[in-house]
Amino acid sequence: MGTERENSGNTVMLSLFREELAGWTRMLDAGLEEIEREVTPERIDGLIRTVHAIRGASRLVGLPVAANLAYAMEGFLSEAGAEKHRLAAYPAAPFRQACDLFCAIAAQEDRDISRWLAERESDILVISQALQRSVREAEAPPISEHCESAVPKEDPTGCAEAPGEIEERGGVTPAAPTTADVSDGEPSAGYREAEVSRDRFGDGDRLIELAGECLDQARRLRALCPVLRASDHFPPVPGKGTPSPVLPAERDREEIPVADPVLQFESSSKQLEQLAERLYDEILEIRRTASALSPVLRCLLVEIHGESYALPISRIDRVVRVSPSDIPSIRGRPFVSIDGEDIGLIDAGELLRMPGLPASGGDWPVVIMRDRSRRCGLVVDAFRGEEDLVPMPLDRRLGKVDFIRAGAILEDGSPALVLDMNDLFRAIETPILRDRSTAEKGAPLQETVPKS
Amino acid sequence: MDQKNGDEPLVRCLPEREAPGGVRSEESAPFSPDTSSAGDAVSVVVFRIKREWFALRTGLFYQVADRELLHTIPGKTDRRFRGMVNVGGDLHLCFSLADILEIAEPAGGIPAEENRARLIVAGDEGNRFAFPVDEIMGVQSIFAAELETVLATPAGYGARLCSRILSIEGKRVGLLDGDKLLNALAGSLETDGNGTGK
Repeated sequence: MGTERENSGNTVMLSLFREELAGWTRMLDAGLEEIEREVTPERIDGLIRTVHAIRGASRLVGLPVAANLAYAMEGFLSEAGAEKHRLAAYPAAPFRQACDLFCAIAAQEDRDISRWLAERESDILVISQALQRSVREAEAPPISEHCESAVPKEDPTGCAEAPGEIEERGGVTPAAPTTADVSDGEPSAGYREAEVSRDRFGDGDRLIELAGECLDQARRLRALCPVLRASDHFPPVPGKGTPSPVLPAERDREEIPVADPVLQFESSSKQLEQLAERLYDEILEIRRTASALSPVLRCLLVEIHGESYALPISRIDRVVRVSPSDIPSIRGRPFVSIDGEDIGLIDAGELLRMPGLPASGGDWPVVIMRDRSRRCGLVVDAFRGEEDLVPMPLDRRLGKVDFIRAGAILEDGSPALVLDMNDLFRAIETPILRDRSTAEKGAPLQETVPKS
Repeated sequence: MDQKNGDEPLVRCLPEREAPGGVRSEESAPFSPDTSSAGDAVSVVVFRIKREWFALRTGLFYQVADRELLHTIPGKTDRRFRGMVNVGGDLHLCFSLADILEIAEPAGGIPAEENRARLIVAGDEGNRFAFPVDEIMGVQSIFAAELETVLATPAGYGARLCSRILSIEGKRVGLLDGDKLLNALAGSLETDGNGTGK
C-alpha cells in the first residue's frame, strides 16, 4: 500500500534525522562549553551553522515545532554573533533547555517523535519565546575584556599603528589599547565603526555561506537515494518503470507517482539540489553586482613599504601582532596558530615584488584574511586605521596590475591602492610564488622610488 | 567692433565677432612647425626640468598643481613611470620626464631657491598624464619664424622628442612634440616595472 510505503519512507528519514541530530546536539554541547570559556565570533558562527542544520532537517522530516525552536535559537545566536550584545549577558537557561530538548528528540523512537513533540508543544513555545524575549530585552552590556574587533581602531592622525583584534595565543600578543578602551563599558567610536562595517559588508558573505550550506545539505540528501533504493523497506513497485534519474525538474514533479516515497524523495532531493545551486549562484551574482555598484568600500588601511594599501573589511578575519621569535615554519613557510588552525603567513612586500626592507625589531602586524573556509595571514609593515573608500578603476593604460583591484583617495588626499583579495588568495596558494617568496628572502635592497 | 545692430545686446554680438588673428588656426589645427606660417602665433607653456627648458603646446595642458604625494604601482613603477597621483580628486599616472628625456642631474645639484616645483597634468581626454617639473616660466606666444632646427640641445633622448628649439628670455627652450611625447609615455608603460620590455 502506498500509505505504508510513505510511512516506511518517513521512518527511514526520521531515523536518519535522529542520527544526525545526535551528532549536532553533541556539537552544540561542545560549542556551548567553548563559549562559556570565551566568546568569539567564530564559535558563535559554528553554533549558528549547527542550529541552522537542525532547523533545515526538522523541516525536511516534517517537524515544524522543532524547526521553529531551532529558528529561535538561531536568532538568539545571530544577535550574539552580531556583537550587538554578548552571549554571556543573556540568560543561558532557555538555550540550554532547547539543546536538552533536541537531545531528548534524538533519544526518541522514530514512531514516537511526532507525538512526543505534540505533547510538549506548549513547553517548546515557552522556550522559544524566552529565547526571543532574552534577545529583545537584553540591554547592551559592557563589552568584556575578551572583546575582539575585526579591525583596528581608527587613528585620527592616520600615522600611528592602530590596535586591532588581538589574541594572546602562542606568539600572538595583544595590543594594550583594546582592553583599556572597552573596559569602560562604552565602545569607542572606532569600535562602533568596525561593528557597523561588519554588519554592512558581512551580510553578503553570510548569505553566501548559508547558500553554500544549503547546497551541501541538498547534495547529501541526493547521496542518500541509492541507500534508500537498496533498503529493504522499499521493494520495487510492480508495473512501475524506473524513471530516468536525470529528468527536468518540472517533468519529474508531474511524472513521479506520489505513492512511491523513494521516487518522490529522489525527485524532491534533486529539485532541492537544483534550487540550492541556483540560489547559491544568484546570491554570488548579487554579491558581485552589489560590490561593483557600491560606491563605498569600508577598508582596513595598512602600510606596505611606506605606502597605503587598503583591504576590504568584509574579507578580513582579524588583525594580530605576532612575535617573530614565536613563528614556526613548515617547509620554510612561516605560519601562526590561531584557534588551533595553522595559518600560513606571507610578506606583503614580497608578494607585491617590492624590494626588501630591513625587518623591524618589533612584532609583525598580520592581517588574517578569510575566503570561505580558508584563512591566510598577510604580513604588513603597519596598520594605519580604517576608512570608507570609493574605489576608482585604475587607468586602462596600466592593463592588469597583479594583486590590485582599484585605486582610491584617502581622507588626507593621498592616493592608495585597494588590494584584490582573490588575487592574494590565489597567489598565496600558488607554489611557485611561495617558492619565489622564500627564495627572495634576504635579497639585497633595490632602488626604491621616493615620494615627491 | 563690427556691430550689426546697435540695439542688440553685446552678448549676442560676441559670437559673431571676428576672432583675433591666429587664434582660430591655433584652436582648429594641431601645432606643426612645418605647416605654420610666420604670422601664426602659437601658445606654449614653458617649464624647466633640472637645467633644461622645454615648451609644450598650451592646448595639451589640463592642470597645474603643487607637487602631490605619489603612490607607486607594484610591478609597474620604474624610473620613467613613477606611479599615480591625486590631482583635484582624480588619479593620474605620473611620469618622470627627466628620465624619459634622459636629462642628466646637474653637477652640484640645483640650489634650493631655484626649486619651484610643480606638477603638470597634460594630455588629451582619456590619455592624460602628470609629470613633475622644477619650475614653470609661464605661457608664451611663439612664431614659427623664431624656431630653429634641433641640433644637439637638449641632450640625449630629449632631442628626439623636441621638434624645434627657440630662445625665450635668453634661454634655449626645446619645443616638445606632443604626439611623440605621448607615444614615449605609452612606451614607458610597456615595461615590467624594472625598465625592461615585457
